[in-house]
Amino acid sequence: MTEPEPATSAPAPPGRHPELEDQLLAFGAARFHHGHWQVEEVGDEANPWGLRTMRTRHEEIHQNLNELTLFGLLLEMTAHRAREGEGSERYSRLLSGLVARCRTTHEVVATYLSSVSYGRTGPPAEVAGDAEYWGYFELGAELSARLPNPALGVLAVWGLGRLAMNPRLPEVLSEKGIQGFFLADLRARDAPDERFLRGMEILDRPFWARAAEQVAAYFGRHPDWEEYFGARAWQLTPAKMMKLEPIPGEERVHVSSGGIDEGFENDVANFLLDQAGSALEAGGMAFVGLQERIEVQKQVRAASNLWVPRLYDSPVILVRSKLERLFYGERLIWRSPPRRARVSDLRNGTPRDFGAYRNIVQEEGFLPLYLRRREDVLANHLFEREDDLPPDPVLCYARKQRQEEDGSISLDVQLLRQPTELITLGMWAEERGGNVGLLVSGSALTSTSPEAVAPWLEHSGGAALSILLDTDPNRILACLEQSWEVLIWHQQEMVEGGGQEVLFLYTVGKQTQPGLGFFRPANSWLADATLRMLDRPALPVTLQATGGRIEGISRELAEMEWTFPLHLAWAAKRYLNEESRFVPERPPPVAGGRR
Amino acid sequence: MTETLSSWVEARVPVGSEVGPADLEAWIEELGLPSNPRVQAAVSGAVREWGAAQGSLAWEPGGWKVKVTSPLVQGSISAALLWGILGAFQIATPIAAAVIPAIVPLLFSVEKVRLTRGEEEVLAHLALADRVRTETPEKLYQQLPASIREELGFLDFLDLVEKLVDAGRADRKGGEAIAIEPEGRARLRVVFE
Repeated sequence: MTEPEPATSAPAPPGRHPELEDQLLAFGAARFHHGHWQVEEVGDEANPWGLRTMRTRHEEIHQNLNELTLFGLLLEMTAHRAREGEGSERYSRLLSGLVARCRTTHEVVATYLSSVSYGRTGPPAEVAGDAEYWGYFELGAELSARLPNPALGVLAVWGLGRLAMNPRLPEVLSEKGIQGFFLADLRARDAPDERFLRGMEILDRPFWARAAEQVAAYFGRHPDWEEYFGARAWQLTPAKMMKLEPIPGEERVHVSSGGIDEGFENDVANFLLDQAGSALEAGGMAFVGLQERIEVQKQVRAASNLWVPRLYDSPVILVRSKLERLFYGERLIWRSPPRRARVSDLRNGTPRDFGAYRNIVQEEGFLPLYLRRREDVLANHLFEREDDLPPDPVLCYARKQRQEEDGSISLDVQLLRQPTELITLGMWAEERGGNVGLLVSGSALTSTSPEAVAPWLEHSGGAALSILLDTDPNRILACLEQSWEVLIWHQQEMVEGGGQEVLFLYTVGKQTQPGLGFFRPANSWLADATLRMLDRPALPVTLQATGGRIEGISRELAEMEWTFPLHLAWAAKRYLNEESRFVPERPPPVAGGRR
Repeated sequence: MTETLSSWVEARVPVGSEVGPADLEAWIEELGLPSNPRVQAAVSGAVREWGAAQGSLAWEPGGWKVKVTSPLVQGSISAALLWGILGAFQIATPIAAAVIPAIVPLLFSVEKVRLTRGEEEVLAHLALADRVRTETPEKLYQQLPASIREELGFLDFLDLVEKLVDAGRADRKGGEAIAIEPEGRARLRVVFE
């Protein structure tokens, strides 16, 4: 080993970057892709609810850190270029190099903060059993422990992460854009990890003790101080954690001016960060404040001819953008590759097929049918020939399992060709003991083809309808709002299929029977975000149902027969378990107006 | 007893074995290096990112693993540990972890780096390569593969060379080994040769 390693310059082995594999921040069953993240469902967990929430938190923090910072802009632009277009190999390597320079920062912030929100019993086995991630957790815990309580500690970990990720970017980026940038342009001292570790050294225990004293002197008499930062602030509930995730105004802002977000916690965070920033500058570590960041981001994006969204593009929608990031950011993977499947027409079905469906009707009380976009049907099944699927944009079908000779499970996708078939099929199901007849499990994304989906909905008659919330829930609710008077939501933990939660949104009109349920796979963090996205002041009553009992209900409504259609949503969830993935999509822009 | 750093590493990771973050942490402890985040990040970063560039990195439940497929991997681990020693003595200037296994053999005669273990401490004898003192930093920099120069700017390289030469010179003049005292307990000293 006396000469420089010749192999270092060797080209990467073929197939090394199937999915930007090495460039990602991977954590157990979750992977962060810069712009979105993916969580694989794995069963056999002691606390699936908490663990799923923790994974979502972990990945969302990566996204948050990227969107808030200049180095994050660099990561997102490079990832964008690496995923598509010419020169993607160069950008893949560049992304590897960039991730290698901020991995510690990203992972300390994401691992520590998501673990703290997991529960008071300490980090889960997923972190404790992983030597590398345990190291990240410990580093965060060490920093946090320099503050008088965990709530302030959380702000310090967030704060140093953001300061580290906001170095001065090489000028070439503003001049020539990402295409003119090479790793050698970035001084090693400006790499986030180097800054984070230096920050750990500069911002020592005495510094944080002084900073915390000053923050207490300034804010201590605020009515919220005691709850969030006082003596009992060690109890970090998930709700509290959500509030403690600062949407920063301006690191250098005068606290009294409030910044963008009016939150008190945010003022405390900015006050702390302001002191940290000054101490780092005195230690020779420059960072870029908000106004300059906004300007640099504009220049770099313009020079690169690539407009990746940033949190500060439109400060007035900061909160909405945060909720949308959660709603659209997470992709769930159940099985990869998908199950093998065969396509046929339901009306050509054999007696054996109908025997199977009759059994489902007798067991469930209904026959489930599915209404999905063709592209989603394709993505969730492994068809031998894609041409077997008709070209229609929206497909309606029944589906059942088939056991192959080798013991594996495949799926029969049996299509309905005409919406009128729904009527005869509904009668068929009722005659065979179905009390509901049909359950049509629709996907909100089919509403992007209104002409294609309308005939199916028109002919669904007395069928129960459950809708998968895989696109903007507000848009769907707005379409149906006029006929509704009550919105009830319900959140329930499913114990089937890996212990995943499902969020239900269930609606009725005053005189009508229950018949429509919305749902999406979620954990408590995502469920909460989804509900907060539903900004529905037009509805006179909004109720939360817990365990089937509904409180605060008017007498008139109470006399109606309230049954939560849990069985319908469970059936729809079982359908999802056979799928490959759940990928929510942003709706395409509506002509003639902005949402 | 005295042995070279290379043979120390070879004994712990024979070709065919695997190395992960827990191993590196154990070796940092065994060498008497301070267990501070900077040293850990430099050592594990160098092995992991180098492994990623070579396609021999695997992410597994419980942490990443780099497969020791050849003496080249052992060499990169030696380089990472040597970098950890430099970091502990604040001789290293920041450079990207991934380039460490390529930079170290250019600047040091790695095969001559020896470890002497006494009862109380480990003495590390570092041997700067002759070319570091005889050639200009520009020429040295040009000897690096293009892919490394793409990752490492000349200014960062220059900082590093200057600091190493200064450290080596200071050590000679004083005639004393540099000693590190993690929490008051000196377990490692370093001598430039």
